[in-house]
Amino acid sequence: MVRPEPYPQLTDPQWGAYLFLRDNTKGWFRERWVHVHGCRQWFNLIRNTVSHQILLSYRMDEKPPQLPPAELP
Amino acid sequence: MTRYNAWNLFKQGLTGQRGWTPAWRSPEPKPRYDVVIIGGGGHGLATAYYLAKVHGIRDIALLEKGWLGGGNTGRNTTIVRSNYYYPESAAIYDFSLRLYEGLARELNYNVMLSQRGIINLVHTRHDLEGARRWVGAMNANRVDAELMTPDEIQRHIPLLDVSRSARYPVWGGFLQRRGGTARHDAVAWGYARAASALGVDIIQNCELRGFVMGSSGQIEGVDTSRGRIQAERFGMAVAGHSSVVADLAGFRLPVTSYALQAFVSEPLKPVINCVMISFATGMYLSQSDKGGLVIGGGLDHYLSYAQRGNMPMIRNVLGALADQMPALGRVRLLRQWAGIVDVVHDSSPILGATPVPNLFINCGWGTGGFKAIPAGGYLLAHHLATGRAHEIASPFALSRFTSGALIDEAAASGIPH
Repeated sequence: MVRPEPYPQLTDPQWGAYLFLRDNTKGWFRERWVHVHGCRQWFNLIRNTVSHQILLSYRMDEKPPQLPPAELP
Repeated sequence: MTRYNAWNLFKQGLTGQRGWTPAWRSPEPKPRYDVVIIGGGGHGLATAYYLAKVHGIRDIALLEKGWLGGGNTGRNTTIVRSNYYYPESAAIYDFSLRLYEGLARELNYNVMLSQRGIINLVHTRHDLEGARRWVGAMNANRVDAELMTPDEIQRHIPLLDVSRSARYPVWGGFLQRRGGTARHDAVAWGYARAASALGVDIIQNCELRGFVMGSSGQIEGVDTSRGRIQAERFGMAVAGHSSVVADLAGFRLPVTSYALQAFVSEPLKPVINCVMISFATGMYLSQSDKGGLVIGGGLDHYLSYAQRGNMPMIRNVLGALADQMPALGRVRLLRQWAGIVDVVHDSSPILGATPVPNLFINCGWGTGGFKAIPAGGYLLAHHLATGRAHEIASPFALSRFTSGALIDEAAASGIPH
């Protein structure tokens, strides 16, 4: 997420969207996890929010891979 | 519609109970309606019913992807209560509880409302101070609530470990006597039967595929698995799938979808005569009329559209039960399931207008949608019929995420949704 700038010129809808709107994807989804009860490392996952299948993980400094195509229903 | 009463039961008894008609009609969808409601859970069904009953709008189609009440309406722990903190929340949830109190008579359908009382347990000195403040707020909002001492709680719930050495010592609690449970399926079926009798077309196995947008940004119709249906106005009450439907209509919502689990044990003799929730562990339980313990807890902590939960939360919830009520430690579970709930930053619902001029929304109830079914339906129906928000609903507009006027029940009353 990129914080919108310059702040003094933002409208309320722009700032509200930055604060409150998040992707809530059904299907393949990029997300950031932290291994709290172990090595405490942050990492990225591509995970399916319907099947909970984890496709792959990638490091914080890696470029995000392409998401797989959505499955047909 | 055959009325349910003693005379008709007797009369049908004379002919072997073979004369009953189906509780609701299942017509083929017409190409055009005044109002289309998307979502055949409790909130959608209640919206259709109040539109027809209160506002006289009867040319309504209610579209349900699966079967009536098969989503969160059939997956909750059936608790009704109005123990919230802010005046806006008290107004909406107590309105809902008052509608529940007259619902069986209103619908001619036994929703098995049981106002057995709900006890919130407090486990620290600080939570006790918070509970005093909370009870004060409830009383100021004219909602019944009373503080309880540990002794009173022990008399109410003998199974609970309130001893000094308890893993979660009990410092006190508070009781809302009007809280309790209702039969979840009966609420959905009762609204469906009453709405159908007023002329609402209930169309099941009808999945929304997309919206047909008009030239000025309004919706002209919906494409569904059973064809295109046009309408003047549209309502949506789809809980955990609100973001998906909003995406089809071209706007975004401040909603995240999570799995919320619940559990039912094997049937036991009566062991608890109220609803109990613990602040320390988030675990709550009540006992159904069949004797099963109905147990719930917190959310699974990641975005999910899978209607099943995971093991860490099962361990948290059932571990808390075994710690707090050691006698239940060896009770076996019959079932475990999850529903997808629509969680909003301030744990308050989103009601009313959307960026699409003729689409109106009811979502964001999070983990507490069942108790709000009558109010959510009544208020969405009001907005659909009059074009304006009801005064109880207006603080819960989507626009509060632009104006900043949040109603933060997560911070105020620690309601976990």
